[in-house]
Amino acid sequence: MSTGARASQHRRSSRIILTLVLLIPALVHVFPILYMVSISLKTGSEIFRLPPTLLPEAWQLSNYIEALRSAPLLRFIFNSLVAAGLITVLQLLTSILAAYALARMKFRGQGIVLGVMLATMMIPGEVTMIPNYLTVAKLGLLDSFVGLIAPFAASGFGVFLLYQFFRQITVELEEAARLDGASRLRFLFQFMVPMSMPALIAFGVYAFVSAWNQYLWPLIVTQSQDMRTVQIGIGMFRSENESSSWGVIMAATTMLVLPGIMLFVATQKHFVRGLTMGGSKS
Amino acid sequence: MPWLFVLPSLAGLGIFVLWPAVHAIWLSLHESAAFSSEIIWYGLGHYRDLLASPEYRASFFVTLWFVLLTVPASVLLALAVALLLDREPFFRSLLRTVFLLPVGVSPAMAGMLWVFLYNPTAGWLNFTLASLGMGQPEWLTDPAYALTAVAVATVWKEIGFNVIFFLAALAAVPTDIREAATLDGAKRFSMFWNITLPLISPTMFFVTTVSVIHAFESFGQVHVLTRGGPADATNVLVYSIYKDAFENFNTGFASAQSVVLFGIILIVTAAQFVIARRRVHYQ
Repeated sequence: MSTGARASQHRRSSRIILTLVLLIPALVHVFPILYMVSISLKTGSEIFRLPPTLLPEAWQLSNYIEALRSAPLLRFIFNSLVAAGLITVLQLLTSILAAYALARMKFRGQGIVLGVMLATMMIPGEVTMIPNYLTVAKLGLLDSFVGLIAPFAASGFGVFLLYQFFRQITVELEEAARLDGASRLRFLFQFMVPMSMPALIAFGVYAFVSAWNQYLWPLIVTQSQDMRTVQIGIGMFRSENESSSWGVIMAATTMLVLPGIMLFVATQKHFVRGLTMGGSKS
Repeated sequence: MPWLFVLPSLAGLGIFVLWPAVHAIWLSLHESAAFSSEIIWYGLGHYRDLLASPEYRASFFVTLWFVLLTVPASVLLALAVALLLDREPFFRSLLRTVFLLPVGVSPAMAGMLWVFLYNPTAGWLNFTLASLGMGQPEWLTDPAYALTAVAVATVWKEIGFNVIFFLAALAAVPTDIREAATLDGAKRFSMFWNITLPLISPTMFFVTTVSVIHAFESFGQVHVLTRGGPADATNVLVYSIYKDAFENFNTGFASAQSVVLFGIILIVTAAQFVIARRRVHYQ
């Protein structure tokens, strides 16, 4: 056997060992999710049988039907989609405009504006939550979509991310476009935005997942069951439906967790790019 | 003209981030009298009360303990997973997706996923412990175990997030270093210790800082799993703020707590910058 072949065989067997070593933690890691699905398919008596079974004896969907009957789960999903969707669109719009001005125009106070936007990234939501609650309450916007969305219409992180991206696009393009008489705004949306698609998608996915996963703010500004988001709806099952069976609770959790997981799996490439672009700022 | 472009962002961030930060400090210096809209100057009174409050001190130490329980575990486990994934196992992208899955799961959902695992009689966790001949704690209702239970669910959720950063950092390590995979164990370890680790140390630092901040800001999983209990065993700082502001309606006291949390996060961030500048290897 040649040394090259032996090396590649060695490599192959070490890859097999490596895969096996990773398989165990991977199974442990995915276990809570599979366990939830498994319980959601079990009958009430099977859930408490000892020793516990891994897979349901007879797969049955009655817990799902019961869960859908006991809480407006689809309404929760709808609310989360609307809130997270609008937050994403607004953050993209406000960030594109501001990042463009900061990256491609010259004006007095530019440095201060950029500094202020960066500074907002340092302020945690736990600090702004009480004053924002007072503001939203005073405006009569509690328990409304506006109240859920407005505090997150702009994003310092988004401005910073897109500012860095817009700066890298070559300037000649802009001058050529301006000679054609294209207005600033048209230029921005006809050239800059299409050229920045990877960054915009990455940030958009990041913004959506963050908004979808919000907990504290929706918890304090929504009051009626009809305004609850997915995250709060899930928590309600824990606290208010203590009497309902574990199968029903886990069926509801499955229905509310899976959209987020599927969304993440489908967009993980963009999400990862959004995160690592922002993380490499130092 | 440029101002029209920056105005929407500036207004949004000004009204809902910058002004509220100032407002929070203002609120922390005032006291709103019960059952009236009157607001009176209270100076540093709330901060003095914080220092004197045994509940707040307990909450502070619960949070510190929580940081210690979650951060080293989630950073080191993520590093181990990323190092293994980086060495090209079979089914690499499938395995990576498995470890990243919890990123799509919010803290509150992570809590819900773990609730039944912690069930003292019918949950798999205690069943496994029993078959190993170990004790079977009442995870969520025993003050001695509740914080650990919340921490485990948190680590489970945070690992994926950290793996993302470590994989990106490892991918940037020059290929000639990574291709030396045929080396024996000892050499490989010294290579990791002397070359790879210094190269990814900026990421290590960044990930640790972000994890510390995340741990200080934990709330969703606590709210779902234990509601700060039993006997305040999981009453972390944010939970304490939430309780004082929205259950006890003590806005000033809660605001003072939020300002202290803000200070802690600023210090952690600043410390990261200072130490990173001095000690961490940048290429």
